[in-house]
Amino acid sequence: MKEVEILLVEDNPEDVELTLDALRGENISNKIEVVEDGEQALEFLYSEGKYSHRKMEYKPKLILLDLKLPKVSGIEVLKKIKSDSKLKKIPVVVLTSSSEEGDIVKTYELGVNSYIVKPVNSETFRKAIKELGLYWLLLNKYAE
Amino acid sequence: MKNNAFRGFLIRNPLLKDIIWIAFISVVYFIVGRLSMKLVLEPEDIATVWPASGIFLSALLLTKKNLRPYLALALFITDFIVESYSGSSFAMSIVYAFALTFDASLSAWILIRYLGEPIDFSKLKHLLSFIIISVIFTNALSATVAAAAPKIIYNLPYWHSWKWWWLSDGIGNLLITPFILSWASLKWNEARERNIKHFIEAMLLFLSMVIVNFYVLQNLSGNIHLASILNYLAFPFLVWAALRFGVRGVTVASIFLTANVLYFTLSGQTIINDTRVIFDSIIMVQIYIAIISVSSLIMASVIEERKQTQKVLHESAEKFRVVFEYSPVGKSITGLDGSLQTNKAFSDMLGYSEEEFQSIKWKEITHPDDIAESNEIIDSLIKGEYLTRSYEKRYLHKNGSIIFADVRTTLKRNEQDNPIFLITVVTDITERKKAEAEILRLNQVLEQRVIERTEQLETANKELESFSYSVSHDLRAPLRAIAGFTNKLSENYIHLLDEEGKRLTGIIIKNTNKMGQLIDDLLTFSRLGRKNMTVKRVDMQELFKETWEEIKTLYGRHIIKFKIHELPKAYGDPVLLKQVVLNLLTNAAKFTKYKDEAIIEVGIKMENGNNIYFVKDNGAGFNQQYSDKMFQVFQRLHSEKEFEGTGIGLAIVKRIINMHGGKVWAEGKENEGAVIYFDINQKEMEK
Repeated sequence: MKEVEILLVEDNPEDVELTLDALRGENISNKIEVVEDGEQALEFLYSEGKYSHRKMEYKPKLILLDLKLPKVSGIEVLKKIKSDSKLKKIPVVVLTSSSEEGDIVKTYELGVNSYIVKPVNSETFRKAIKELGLYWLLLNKYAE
Repeated sequence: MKNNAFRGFLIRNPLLKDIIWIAFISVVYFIVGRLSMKLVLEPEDIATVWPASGIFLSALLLTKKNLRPYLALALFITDFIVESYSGSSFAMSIVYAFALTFDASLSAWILIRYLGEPIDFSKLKHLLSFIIISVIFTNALSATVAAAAPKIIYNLPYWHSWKWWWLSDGIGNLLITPFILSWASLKWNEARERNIKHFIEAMLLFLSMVIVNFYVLQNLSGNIHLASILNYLAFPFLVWAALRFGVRGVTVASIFLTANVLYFTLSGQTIINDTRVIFDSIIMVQIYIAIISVSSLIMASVIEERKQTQKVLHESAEKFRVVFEYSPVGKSITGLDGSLQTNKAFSDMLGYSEEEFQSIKWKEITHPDDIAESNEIIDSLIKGEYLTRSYEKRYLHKNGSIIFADVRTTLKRNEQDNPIFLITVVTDITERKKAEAEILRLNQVLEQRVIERTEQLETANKELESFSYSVSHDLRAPLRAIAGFTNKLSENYIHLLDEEGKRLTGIIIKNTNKMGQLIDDLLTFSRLGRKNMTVKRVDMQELFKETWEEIKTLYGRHIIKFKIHELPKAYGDPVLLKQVVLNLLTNAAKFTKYKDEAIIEVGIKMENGNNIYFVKDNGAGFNQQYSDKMFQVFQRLHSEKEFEGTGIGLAIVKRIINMHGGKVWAEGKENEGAVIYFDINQKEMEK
């Protein structure tokens, strides 16, 4: 079983596909786990529910988090991660459609590592995701 | 008509009028002088009474100032003629005429100087001054001169002549001057006011005097025992005249009595001729006349003065009554016992008649809750803590309704400083009170409405916020999908598409991008309304430069010359101003893209002490008549094909500048370029 490097929390299947498309070029798409809502994201991180077979020690290297999610919102997921000493070292990048200043401020207050507004333009979008993947998986140094 | 014509003629010829006046007086003087000669006793040529001297003085007092010397001269000559005509020697005539002229002139001069004009014998002060100056003093001086003539010429005893002259001249003045002056001052209107009864009474007085005097004098003359009684006979008539007809009546009565007594004395029938010495008898008559005249004149004068005072008092009281009664403001005089005397306005205000008020005490018309306060106010006035008090109180209308009033109460004290009554001025302010209450009620309603509206607005605002949030989030997601998958289609399935297919996918991608831009711009614009401003000092020059560096490469397909002048710093929100600068510069860059030599110039100009920033380009420009449209949302002056854009950029600029209390406007010409001006209200920002 491959180690999951990226946890993508995104409820919109099209966005999921486009994001995966963009990352595929970098050869990392097979190390991505996609969950559709905040609840699943937390289950994944805490190895609960359908992810109970997963070992919690294998933490993802990056979480891509949408804010507007069913059940548990992105903000709440972020809050949970950043307030848990076992999880808070994982870089979280908010990937959202919202460019509301309130959201930006709020997420940074909660300790988000980066905030990216998904561009509508497909070229720009692809470029942004690509660079994002490269940066966080290859360039960035992690605290173990 | 004739009379009026004559008067008009005199007015047009004032000199002639003066000459006629002097001639008239001279003639009168001549006639009176000739008649007075009947009263002259030999050998001194001195008259018993010399009425002409009274004429002389009266004429001087009645003549206007600048004419008096000529009148005096004329009468001097007339008197000389009268004297000479009656057989006096030249020297005697000259001396007498001089003495008389001197007497009258000096007398008139002192009187006018001391009392002022006109001399009014109904004033006691004027009368007494006249007696002392004209009757006693000045003719004593003239007697001193005149008595010398008989002494020198006939060697007659000096003091005898002096006394004779002094008395006759003095009595002449005493009888004639008050008579002429008081009757001359009678106004025609005043005379007409006297009724017929008054006239009949005067006739009755006159007749009874004539009958009684003639009867008594004729029947009792020579009777030594009764003579002394007869001396008093004049008094009842003079008192009657003084009481009922004033100074004018007394002067007439005195002259009549004098004439009567003189007639009987000179004809030898008098009561007083018992001494058989005519001179002594005459002197007694003169003294008698002097005493009764002076006494009765003083009495008349005192009575007239009192009448005058009463008249003034009455007028004053009447004036007060009218002012009080017909005042539009309510007034009342409140006795210390609580009784009321009110005017019409006040009784109308409370619905009572003035008669009803006479039996009402103030407490009965005062609202029960206000009685204590009113009592306290009255006490404070009585204690002398205040001279007057102003306050609001409630009265009770006869029908039971409440009358609100503005009240001012003043305490009136008598000469001993004891309180007598209260004067209260009352203004009805019931309507005003009602209006005030209504205003208060309306204000409360209004306030409530404002609160409700504010709540509604806040709710609407929140709804709008969540709306724009969902637009931001939900509208972009499908767009992204369209763009992304169309892109994928054009890349991965390019071999399946013909040229038309490729063109169509290109159009889809372009339009989704465009829509994305529109959504972003709209969000920016709507967010501005909710943004809290953070005002800081902003280096405008640096801001322009830095922004230009950021964007110049984006529009790098053509060469742009960027000129920036020195710009002052400004207070404003740095983030918002950055947006302004960004929009203005990108616009300028965009609209110059077809120019071979594009120039963008940023500078400043001063107007009315304001710094006005401008961004000028030599691009496509615009028609000046559409300059206002440029700043409205979605308003574009160029086709999408020529210049891409959403039509929101300048609307955002306008909104931000307005938030900074400033104005933004544009000047341009098609194909020659555009200038966008804006200013920032520094005073408002510094707050």
